[in-house]
Amino acid sequence: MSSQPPAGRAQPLLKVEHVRKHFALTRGILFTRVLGHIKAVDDVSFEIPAGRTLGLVGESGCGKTTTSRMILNLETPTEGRILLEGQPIEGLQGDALRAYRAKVQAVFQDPWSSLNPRMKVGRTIAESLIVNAWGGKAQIAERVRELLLQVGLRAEQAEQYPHEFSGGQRQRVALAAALASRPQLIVLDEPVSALDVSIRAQMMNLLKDIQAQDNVAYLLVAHDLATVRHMADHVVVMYLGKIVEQAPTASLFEEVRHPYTKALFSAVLVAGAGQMAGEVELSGEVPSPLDPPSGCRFHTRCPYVMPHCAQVEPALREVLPGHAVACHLFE
Amino acid sequence: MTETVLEVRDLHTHFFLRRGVIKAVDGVSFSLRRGEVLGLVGESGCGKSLTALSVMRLLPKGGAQTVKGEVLLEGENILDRSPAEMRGIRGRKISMVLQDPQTSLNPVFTVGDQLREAIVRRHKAPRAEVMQEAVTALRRVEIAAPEQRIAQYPHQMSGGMKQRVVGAIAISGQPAVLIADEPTTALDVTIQLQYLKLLKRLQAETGMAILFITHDFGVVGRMCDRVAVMYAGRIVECGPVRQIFEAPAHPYTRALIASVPRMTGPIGRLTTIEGQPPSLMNLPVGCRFASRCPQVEQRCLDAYPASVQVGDAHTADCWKVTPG
Repeated sequence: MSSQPPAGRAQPLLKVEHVRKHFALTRGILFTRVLGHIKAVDDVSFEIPAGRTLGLVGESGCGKTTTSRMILNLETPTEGRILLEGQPIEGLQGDALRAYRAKVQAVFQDPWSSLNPRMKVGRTIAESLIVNAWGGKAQIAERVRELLLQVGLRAEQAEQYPHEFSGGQRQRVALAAALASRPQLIVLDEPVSALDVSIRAQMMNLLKDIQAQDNVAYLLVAHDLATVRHMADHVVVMYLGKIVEQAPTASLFEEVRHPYTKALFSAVLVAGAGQMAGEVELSGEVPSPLDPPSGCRFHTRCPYVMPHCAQVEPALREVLPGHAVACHLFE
Repeated sequence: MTETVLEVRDLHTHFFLRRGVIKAVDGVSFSLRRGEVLGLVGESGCGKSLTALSVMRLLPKGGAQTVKGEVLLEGENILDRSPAEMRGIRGRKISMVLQDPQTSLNPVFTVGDQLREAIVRRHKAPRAEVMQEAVTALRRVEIAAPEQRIAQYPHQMSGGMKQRVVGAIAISGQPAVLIADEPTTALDVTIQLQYLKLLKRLQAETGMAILFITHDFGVVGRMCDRVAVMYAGRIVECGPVRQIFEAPAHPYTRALIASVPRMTGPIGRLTTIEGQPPSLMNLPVGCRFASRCPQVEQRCLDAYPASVQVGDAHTADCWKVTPG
């Protein structure tokens, strides 16, 4: 495979190429036996252009968190590779790893878990700058002030502790800390789902404003499709470690193809209006990733299942420019 | 009009702390008819869960006390019942399902043990009969292979299944009222839909009334007949779901509905509500939403507005609305 970008197209900021992550399930400490492998992520590829947002959607156990952890370089892929600006991220160490961490940051669902309760938030925000020896004390203090204002907090709040903030404000602090090193990509793992409805809207507007100002790319891991619709340019839908559908947001919301995506859309409860047309309801639960179903992994729950779905695994095929579906119905 | 099974009148539950009194529930009134689903919506800290706990008489330790009001369950005020009498009422007349099924189930007992406990407390019966009843209860909540599942521990089940078990225990005593406090918030979306459909079906079969506490308007649209919107310890608007969605009267309800991202229509900036709710320790004399309301006037700051009838069974506490 050529690492040169195709002519006429800018190189994407982040490239995920045929990545797999298998976790060995073991028993015993001394004489360890491998009982099996959990295929958390199984041959996943996508790209994120600079300054754009990719939404990663799916239910618990679909592999979206593992994927984001590999992009954050917290897990190493079993197979495949991840490239940032054309450079593989595997095996980065020392200064190179620190530089990578400055470029790729994260904001998680629960801001409590990312803030040290005994550290003033100003110090938390400055942490990555200090670690990277970004500048002198006064310079760092100025940058922290700037960051607090950028996320809609007051400069003097740098002197406060996390417990003095509301949930929404704490998430702003976590965002300020992520922005400190001027990253090119921020992994947003359910950034608004712990927030109240009215605060959620504020946070989403803020994230969009920051993207417009700083040209930062987002990987938005979320389960709420309406949030993804408002934030993402492109959406990847995962089921049991596989991508089942990926498309530009507008194309996906115009016509959903994969039966699983259809089911996800049907499960969205629309405020006010009645139910959406063509509802697909799923029976049963997601099978164990330790022993995923043969063929198409969704065939055990699919309302449109055909005999060969259990035998042949469908490939991800483009049905429209940029809109790909892995389903035998579209072959 | 069908019979009212639960009526809450002017309920006040406060926390008495050394540093002051937190008026978490401060004058809440609503009623629930047989077979009806009433949604109680609001943001964190508005008092919706504490309202439910006050009705259940299960207030958290540490200074919480219901200081005023009445809770009429099938016509009887249960606020003056003794703790022993309450134990007989809970589970038989009124039950509750909480957000996290993990905390409702005991990890060291099997699901069957926990179901049997609920059944035996209601009526003594031979062991085999109780077992049979427990299996039936699991089957009613659509758990596949209940005969095997009954011997399993909670950790062997998925979140959705555990929540079904909790539901089975809650309705095993055929209560007239079920309080569901964010029962699907911890579940995946497709599992949430399954659970809501199950609740609807069970409700249709048993005719129980459900008080459904949630922060999600989508869930309200799917589940509820009427909805009450809470803000800073009070219900500010209450009415049929359709009317609340199509013509919300209170500025808070309007702002809240407008701030929800949509699945259709243009994608623009989301509407937000600036500011924060007032401190429950130091509530304003006037309307509690006044400090954040875009249409605030002097009278809003001077006195709390009376409930205005804006439509059929639709009320709003706001000076600016016109009676309809």
